[in-house]
Amino acid sequence: MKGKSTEGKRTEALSIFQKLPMPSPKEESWKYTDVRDLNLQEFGPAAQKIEFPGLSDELKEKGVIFTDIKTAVEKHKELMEDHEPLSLISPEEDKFTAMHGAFWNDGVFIYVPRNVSLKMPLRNIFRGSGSGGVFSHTLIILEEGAGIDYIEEHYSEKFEGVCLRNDAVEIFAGPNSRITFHNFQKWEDNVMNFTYWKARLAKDARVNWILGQFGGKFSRVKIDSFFDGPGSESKNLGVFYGSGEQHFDFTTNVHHLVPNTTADILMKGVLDGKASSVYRGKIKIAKIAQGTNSYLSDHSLILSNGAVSHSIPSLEIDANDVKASHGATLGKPDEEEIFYLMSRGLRRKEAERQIILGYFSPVTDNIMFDDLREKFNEALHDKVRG
Amino acid sequence: MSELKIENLHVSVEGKEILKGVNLVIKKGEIHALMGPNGSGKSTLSFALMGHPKYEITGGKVTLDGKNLFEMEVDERAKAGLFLSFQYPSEIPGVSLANFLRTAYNEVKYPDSEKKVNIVDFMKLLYGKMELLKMDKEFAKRHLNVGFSGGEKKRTEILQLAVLEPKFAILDETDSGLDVDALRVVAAGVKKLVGPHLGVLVITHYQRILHHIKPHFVHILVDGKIVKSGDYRLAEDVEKSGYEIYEKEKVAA
Ligand SMILES: Nc1ncnc2c1ncn2[C@@H]1O[C@H](COP(=O)(O)OP(=O)(O)OP(=O)(O)O)[C@@H](O)[C@H]1O
Ligand SMILES: [Mg+2]
Repeated sequence: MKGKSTEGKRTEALSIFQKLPMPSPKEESWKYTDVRDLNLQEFGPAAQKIEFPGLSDELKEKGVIFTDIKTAVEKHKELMEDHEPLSLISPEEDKFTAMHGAFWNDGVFIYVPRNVSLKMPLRNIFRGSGSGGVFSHTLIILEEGAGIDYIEEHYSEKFEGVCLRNDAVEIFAGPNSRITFHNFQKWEDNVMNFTYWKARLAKDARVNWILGQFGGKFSRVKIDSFFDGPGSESKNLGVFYGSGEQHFDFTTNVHHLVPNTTADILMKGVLDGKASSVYRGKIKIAKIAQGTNSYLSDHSLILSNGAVSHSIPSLEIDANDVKASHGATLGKPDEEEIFYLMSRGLRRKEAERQIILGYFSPVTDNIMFDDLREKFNEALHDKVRG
Repeated sequence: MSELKIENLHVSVEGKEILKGVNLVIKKGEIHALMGPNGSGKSTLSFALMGHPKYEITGGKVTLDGKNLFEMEVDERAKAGLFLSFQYPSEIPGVSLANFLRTAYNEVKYPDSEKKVNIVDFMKLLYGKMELLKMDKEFAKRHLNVGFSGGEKKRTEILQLAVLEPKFAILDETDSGLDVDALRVVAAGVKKLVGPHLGVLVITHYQRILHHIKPHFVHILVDGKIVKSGDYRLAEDVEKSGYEIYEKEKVAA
């Protein structure tokens, strides 16, 4: 889609959207998430507010840009060159991605110049305030040697009806650049979410994804990381906690295209009530990608008889000198551990809470910002029944 | 007078009767020792008192200061003042000893209120108790029992006892796994806690710990029943001649 104007891309995405049928559970990637009853025509544009904190003068002088995407498309065309919105993510991906391509109308643009490294995180708070559709597009461009931490927090107000979120995130990580992308969502149960994140990593780039998914009626997040340059690395670290009738659908795909790249994936979920989840993790190692290290591990802690979790790992390895592994566990909290904690005066719920807190810690320990880690822990605290 | 009173206690595990009518009264300030061959039911007694779900009470009664223990949840027993030092403590990954103990402290000290101990005050208290037990401060940060050596786990159990200040404590083989010096430190710690406020049941196979702690009473449990009670000298007899004579006595009875 390179070379086309923004409007041209939009028109093309719209026609793809109209052409593609609704995904069917017969397709592998929609097997456990049935969306056939969803009428996408119902989701006209809905209200949302994105809170933008200001950028310090120092960072502005250095050339850092942190603004809403519409302004960026008008004012910073020259920075986008090959990196304009939807040059990484193709509307051909599926019906929802095409829908995003046709309707995206707000979002975030971040540009970090060469060798500029930020100590403090950049942070946006997304607040959905009504039913309808929300289509946010986040585009992050890191030049060589740039480094940032980015945090997106998502909330929704209490309102009637359903908000369908259909967001996309694109990250261009230049040589030796570094980003940790943090996602935290604690929606009310009036949100259905379809999100696609995609990053391309140049030589020695590091892109880490940390996600904490707690709210929403339904949430689907798909993450694709492409290792284009040798020495590049990515971690995908996620926790999620489903209760009631929540459904989560996560995919992480790592594409090792060149030699000596590293991926480390750890997903930890808790499911209570009648909640369900599906996790698909794919490691793809190209023939020339010798020296790849790629580790995938996903865990589910099941608190009730009504909860279910599916894990679908796949390894496509065409190189021979690589280290790749997959491990999955599924289980209940250990009754001996609960008894031990209760014998010290903790109520059963509190004992479970401590165990889950500990279970999440291999992910949450990687959050370097105390206030954000505290939000993860509080969200967990609120989710433990009783 | 505060007391833990066990009357004709019968307990089964997975349908098999293990305790066959145990009677024992422990008063505040008293130290009782419980000895007996492997598999005689010593740990079963401690789990049943603490309320482990696998141990089914099939008969008898236990009261703590007159309150029926079996009508309480596990945590309520802890709040009522019962403490068990586990023979094999669980490892809880990701939960630091300090955070966990502070949570437990709040639950036990202020069970029905929102009141919570100030973090700084609690750390002072915790470090004080750690010093008493000659524990490195680093342990406060470590994950509860994870990767602790056998002896470190036992010392941590006694640290929890010292912080939570129960009325009655059961020490299930706290001495096994402790080296000579650790044993002395732990025994001294326990002795400091006994006295007007604490009653203790020390389960052990060895005279060593009893030598330090000096129990007021010694009981021998064989096949789910206390077959003999006496004073400290009983422990010396056991050390010399084993349990065989008591097992015979039981068969004869
Ligand atoms: N959870 C359990 N499941 C099955 N059997 C059990 C369980 N707990 C105890 N038992 C059985 O009950 C009997 C008494 O065990 P208990 O652990 O109380 O002995 P003990 O006196 O503490 O022994 P030791 O000196 O070896 O610690 C044993 O035969 C044991 O196998
Ligand atoms: Mg035992």
